[in-house]
Amino acid sequence: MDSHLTRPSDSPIQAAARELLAQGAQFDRWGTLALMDISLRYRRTVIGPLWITLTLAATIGSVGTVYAALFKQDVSIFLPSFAVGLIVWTLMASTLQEGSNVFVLSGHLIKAVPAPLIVHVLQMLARNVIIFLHHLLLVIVLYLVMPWPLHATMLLAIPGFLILLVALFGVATALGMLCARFRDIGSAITSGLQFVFFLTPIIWTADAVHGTAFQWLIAANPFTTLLELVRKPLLSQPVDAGQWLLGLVYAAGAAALALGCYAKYRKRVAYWL
Amino acid sequence: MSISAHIHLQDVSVDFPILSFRERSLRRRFMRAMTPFMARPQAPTHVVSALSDVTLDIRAGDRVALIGANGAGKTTLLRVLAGIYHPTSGSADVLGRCLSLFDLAAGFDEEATGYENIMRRGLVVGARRAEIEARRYEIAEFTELGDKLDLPLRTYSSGMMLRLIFAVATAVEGEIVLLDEWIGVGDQQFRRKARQRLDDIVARAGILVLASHDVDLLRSTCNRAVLLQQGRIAAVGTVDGIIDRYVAGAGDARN
Repeated sequence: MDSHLTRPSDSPIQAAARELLAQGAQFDRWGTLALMDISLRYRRTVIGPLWITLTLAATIGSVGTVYAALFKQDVSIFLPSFAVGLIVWTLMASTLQEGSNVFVLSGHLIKAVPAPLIVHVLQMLARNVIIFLHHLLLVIVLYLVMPWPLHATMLLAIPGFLILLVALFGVATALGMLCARFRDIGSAITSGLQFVFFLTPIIWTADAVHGTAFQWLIAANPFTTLLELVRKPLLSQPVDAGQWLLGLVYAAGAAALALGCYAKYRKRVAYWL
Repeated sequence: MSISAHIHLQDVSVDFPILSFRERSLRRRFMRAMTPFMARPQAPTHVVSALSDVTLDIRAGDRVALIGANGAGKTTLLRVLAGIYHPTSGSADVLGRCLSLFDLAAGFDEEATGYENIMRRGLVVGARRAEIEARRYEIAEFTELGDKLDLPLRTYSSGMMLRLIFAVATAVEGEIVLLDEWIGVGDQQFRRKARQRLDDIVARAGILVLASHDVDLLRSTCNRAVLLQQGRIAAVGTVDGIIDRYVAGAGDARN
């Protein structure tokens, strides 16, 4: 049972932060729920969530080789970059998309059971991370087929991934609340994400726009920065300090946004559902 | 019996905005802000007051009957006490662990087995994993469903499902028990057992708040009554007094 009491001396922000931290620490709760979600969704299939991984593998194999030929790129360089890019993108896009629906879809639960709202976001994020981990198998397979040099710097992908998760968590929380109130945003997000996909160096490379007017696209696109913080270390490419700093700024901004929204609106969400 | 439980509601109001499709659209808002000269006057947002200025003090030992017609605000009041709705104005101080026994099926999944659903529902209401694992067999035993708990919920009959739902919901206890209609489940033999368990839980709880239309049940269970009318407290008093008043009022309304 969750107590919905807060210390009377708390400011709204403090109370929200306390709740976020307390729930974040209850890994067994949202982690188990996320695992169960996945195991239930694929209960009657043989290979389970690997089905999505296979679909992704087909996309990577076909689109990757075609684009490598189109852009006259070396397949052994383009394919790993495209594969990791698409896998990280899948995590970002599905988290934001599910995030925008997270409270609406759990509406019946929110109105039935007193539980902190953030559990639904954490559960959704954990579910997508589990699927992401399945997809990582593809990267391993690809490495075995066409190895690229590995350095110890690849471990930097872990802090990069954490920055990405914090940013996704923050934006998903805010989006979820916004979409509970304004129902037309969900579809806007879906089409917006498709648009952003083409503006992010996934099916094209950053080198291709080097020196052109489109270079600012890469610099100004938060998706690019967050993606590269995971992709470049995994491919043993150097990431400059400016990108790390920018990634931290995005994560901090998203976290602050989530905290602000949570403090202000978490008590209103049940009324909108 | 727990003596620490205490509920204090001060001028609690709960107003629901009725958001029409139009008001839910951000695009429309944006358009209106961009083209103020073209804007038609905005229709006022409809607000439904589910509760207005409810002030109530409930202390340990109280067995409160919530009485009122459909739509009088009984369920909303229970949801405020449970912490699902935070009052739009006023304050609700609820001291003590709440056991809310309504919407018991929320969190169950058709595809999951009985055992998995025990875990799911437990986690959803905020129990820790280890805690649920420790009580799993106790819950399973109470349902008397045996090996069927390894089957997915969609294969259950509604009676079996109710047994499971009841067993899981009542596996934990609370200092404050909130009931929206008394729960009666299953066949004769299980119904007796369920009744016994619910009686025990209520006996050990510091506070019971029971919303019901069952006059005999209210008389035998409660020692205080609150009459709700259109979201306001119309009267507080003894169970018999309030029931008489409610029945008389309902009779008047009918004539």
